[in-house]
Amino acid sequence: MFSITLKLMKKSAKMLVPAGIAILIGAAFIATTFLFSNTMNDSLIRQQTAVYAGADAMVLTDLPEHPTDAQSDEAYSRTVADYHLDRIRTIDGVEGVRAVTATNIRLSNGNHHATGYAINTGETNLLPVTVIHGDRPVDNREVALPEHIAKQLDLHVGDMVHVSRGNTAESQGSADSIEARVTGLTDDPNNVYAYDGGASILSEDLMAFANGVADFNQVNATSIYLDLDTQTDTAAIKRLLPRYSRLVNRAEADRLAVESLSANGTSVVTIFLLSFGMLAMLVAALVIANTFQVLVAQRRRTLALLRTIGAMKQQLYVSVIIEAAVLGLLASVLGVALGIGLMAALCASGIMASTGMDARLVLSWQVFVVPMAFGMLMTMLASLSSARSATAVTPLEALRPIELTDTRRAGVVRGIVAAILCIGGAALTGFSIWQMRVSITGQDSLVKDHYATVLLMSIGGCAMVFLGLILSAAFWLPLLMRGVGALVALAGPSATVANANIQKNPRRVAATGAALLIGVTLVATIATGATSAKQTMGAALASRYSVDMIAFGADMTDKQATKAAETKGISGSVYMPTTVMTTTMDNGETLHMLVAGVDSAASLHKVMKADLRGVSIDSSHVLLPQRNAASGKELKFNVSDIVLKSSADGDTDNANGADATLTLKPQQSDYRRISSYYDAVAFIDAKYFSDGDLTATGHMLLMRVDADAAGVTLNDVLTNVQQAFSASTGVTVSGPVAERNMWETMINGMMALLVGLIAVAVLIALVGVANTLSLSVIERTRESATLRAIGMTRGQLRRSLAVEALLLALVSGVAGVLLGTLFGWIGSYMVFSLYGTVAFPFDWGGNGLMLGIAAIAALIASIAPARRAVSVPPVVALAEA
Amino acid sequence: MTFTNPPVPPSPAIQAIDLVKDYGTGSNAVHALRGVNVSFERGKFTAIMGPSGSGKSTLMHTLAGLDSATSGHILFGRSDLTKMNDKQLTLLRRHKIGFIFQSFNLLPMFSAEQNILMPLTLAGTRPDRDWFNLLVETLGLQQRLDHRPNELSGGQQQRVAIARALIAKPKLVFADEPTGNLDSVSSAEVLTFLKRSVDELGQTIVMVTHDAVAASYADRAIVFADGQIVADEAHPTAEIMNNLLMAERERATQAAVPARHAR
Repeated sequence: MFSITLKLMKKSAKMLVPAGIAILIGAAFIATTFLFSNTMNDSLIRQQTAVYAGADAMVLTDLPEHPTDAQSDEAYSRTVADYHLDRIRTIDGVEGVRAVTATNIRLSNGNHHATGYAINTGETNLLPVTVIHGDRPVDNREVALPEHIAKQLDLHVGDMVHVSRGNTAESQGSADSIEARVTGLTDDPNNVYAYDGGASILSEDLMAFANGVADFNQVNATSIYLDLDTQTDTAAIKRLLPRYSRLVNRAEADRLAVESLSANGTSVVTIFLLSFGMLAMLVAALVIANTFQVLVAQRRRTLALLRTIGAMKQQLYVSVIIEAAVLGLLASVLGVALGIGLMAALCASGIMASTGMDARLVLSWQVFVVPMAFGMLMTMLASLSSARSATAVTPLEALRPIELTDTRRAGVVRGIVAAILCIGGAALTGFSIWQMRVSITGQDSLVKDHYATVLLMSIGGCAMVFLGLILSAAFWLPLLMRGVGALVALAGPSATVANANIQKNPRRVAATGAALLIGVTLVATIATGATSAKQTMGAALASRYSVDMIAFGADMTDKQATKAAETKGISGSVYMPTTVMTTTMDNGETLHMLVAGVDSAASLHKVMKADLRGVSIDSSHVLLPQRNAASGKELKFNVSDIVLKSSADGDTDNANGADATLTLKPQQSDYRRISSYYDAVAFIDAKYFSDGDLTATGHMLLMRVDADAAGVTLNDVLTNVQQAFSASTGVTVSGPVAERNMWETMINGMMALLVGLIAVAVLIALVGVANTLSLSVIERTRESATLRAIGMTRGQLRRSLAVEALLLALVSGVAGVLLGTLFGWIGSYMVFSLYGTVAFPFDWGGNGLMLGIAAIAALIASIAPARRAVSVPPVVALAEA
Repeated sequence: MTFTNPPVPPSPAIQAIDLVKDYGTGSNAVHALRGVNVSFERGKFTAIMGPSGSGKSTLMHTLAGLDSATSGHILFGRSDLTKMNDKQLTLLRRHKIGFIFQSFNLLPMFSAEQNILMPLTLAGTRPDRDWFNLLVETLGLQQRLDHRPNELSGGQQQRVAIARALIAKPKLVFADEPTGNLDSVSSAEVLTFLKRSVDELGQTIVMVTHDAVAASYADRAIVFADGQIVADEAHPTAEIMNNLLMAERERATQAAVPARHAR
């Protein structure tokens, strides 16, 4: 039977190709998932252990299971002196030893500054970074810089550079610095310090200085690295080590690093990715089931003949299963090969390197076994029902012409289960939405204490509804297609024929449509959710801030401000001097304000999104907000005058503010947060600054952003403005635009990732559309020939197939988009109501793009079957059955 | 002596001139048609008979433009079918030539009425309702118009097929063994209808058949053997046709047998 099966397979090879492709894609996805996680693990492990450089042994802490505070303190506050390095060096077999110290430093060359990470110098093979030009520091006052920092500061080997403590909280005045000589440039090939952008190497005295101690021996050292030869007296080393530490050899240290990683759960990422692989495989299963259905139907004659000459039912059953197994095996093997090829190309292309990861292709048994096992299993499972129908062929069928259509209606059980799921899911979702609504209006609801449960209920409800719809697709999808088809049929004879063909086999049409529906719905849900998130976030931010973008700092210069104001996308800006002042509220609390000088209310109108009617800036008034920006409490000024004092009580921003006092009448307007650092931002007449009554301790540039009108992205505007102020380290650019940009980037990134993963399933579904079409063409050979014989041109036949493909793809596509948008709205409502008014957008762009792609793919899918259909000569219609 | 002008034969509906059709090449070549010359009169019911493998079906296929000829000409009206491309031939089949197949070849997903109107649907033209009603009445299909083919008997299906062939008022109708899949009662029905459409509706029908009884309904019967016409009977009856066929078989057997006798 096996050889017969293989012969039958060879004959139907063309039919099996699309199904094979579907499995191939699924298997490749799973293989790539494992390969990806292997590579990430490997890269992270190498990164972890690369920090040990060429050391043979190192010292790790050895604390008891539940250490006391005193013990921990002692273990973690060791200094270099505690390790007795000089005495260790004298021990037999110790070729080198280096204490492990680190710090943040600030490097300056004239007006150029840079901050970075630094380690102490030592033997070359105990340094985790390599020196590529020049030498490592040896004597005092020597430093080796990372190559890119040297470029940034315009330094070369032999130049001098100022090294100072890198504590970023310190002010940017002229802090203590030591002039050091650049002895070499460093590179970080193993990405040990990828997060910090490389590491400088400091001579020991500089390390002591940067750590704020007098001598290197007093610097806090977390460990020491040892370069040993084979005959080392490790016992002697151990005797010299401080308490709560142990000597560990390299192999052991690597093993510990690996253990800590796997416990960290890169397996979580693997599981996440694998779930998408399962989705892809499920969709592929639908394609395979369709294929085998037609395969068996086409083969009924042959199978009946086999039965007449003595084949048993069971043999036919096994034959179909074997065919499925062979197909699954072949396709999975090819899929694994494809996955390995893709991953190898990815590693070689250096894309990973740009993210700081050194990627290597790592093969493991899971890469091979899991996809192949799943591929074969899925294929065999999907072919089960067709195998059963193969045994239903009676020997008599060999002797009479048979009708190839399968107009079986879907089972009643399935219908009931689907109905229960739909109704139950809708009820669950409805309940959770109601609870959410109730809680928003301020009343008591489950949401208060059991938000997670309510959220889960809504997600579960939606999932149930979705599952129910998919199960019952055999009922409603053909109906939907019939409705749409009836409309389309009016378009011409090709469309009429296409519509009739779709009605012929409701089960197959439903399976194909369902496959596409799954992918499209998921993509639409994510896209809608992401769009809603962005819009809701944007609206929430806009309502909390009154100004789009604020640049603020002590060392902002007029020139920088002008440059920033000219950035493309900035549609208005106001430059104002600022100083910090305080006033006492009615209830005795002190209000810290940033007071800004402005010429007139008109210039405030230019940039502020607030209702400033009736506001006038003159020398007797001060404009204040209605609420405290930090606490949200209302600001009440019942007196007609308030006294503003410049704050001289230790505020770092006002180092040279003279003790000025102003008495002004408060006028309040409802504007929101402008700066997050102060309780309020107040506006007074700029004359106070120009006349000298107040000294400006800094400047503020308020900007209105209109990126769309200028045709640039928010990101561009933000980056350009930041660049205008790059020379002044004390200037921060903030505001809702900046925050919004950060959110949008993050959301877009996540969306791209998720959509990319689901796109695999959509791709397989489109392969399914092509498959269904080619199967239909094969089934309809006689009919196509008849139509050609009675006057259908080749062009009309091709068009009817194109219309069929479009109907299949677009009806399920649009249904998926609508469903996905609904789920996305529900999800957004449940999650984002807590943050503000939820937006219910319809992602025209994203959905339109997806439907467009589906339509184009459907048209492409119809090309090959159409060619096959028109190549059938009309004479075939006259051939005997 | 009175000179009367010889009667001018009416121009034939379709005419084959030196038609040759070969399948395959070299020593394996099958010569299905060996230089056939025949013309079919308008408004007449002609039957083409012959044993299997004689080439009668091939003759019909090539005459209808469903298959290409190796050499020769086919004149249909004023056009030469051998010089037409696929699109022209398709349009011809849509408007000018009708088909009736042995296995009915109705489109299973359309109703009887839609099947009948299919050639017009493909052309995008509106049906002539009077003509449609006449056909349906003549063929007795009024009760069956909404049914799908699998809900019709064999005879009914073939009648639907006949209506489909006639709906576009073609110049010529080809029928390939129309009664081959029918019982004797349905066969008689179908043949009667075909004859009526020739006599009453003025159609021209060329029928291929191996059934002498079916040939007896025709106005003229041609016997085909080995790719050539071997007999042309003006008023066929079942008996005459049977005799002709038997004679042909005898001749064929004799041609094969002398090889044995010679030994």
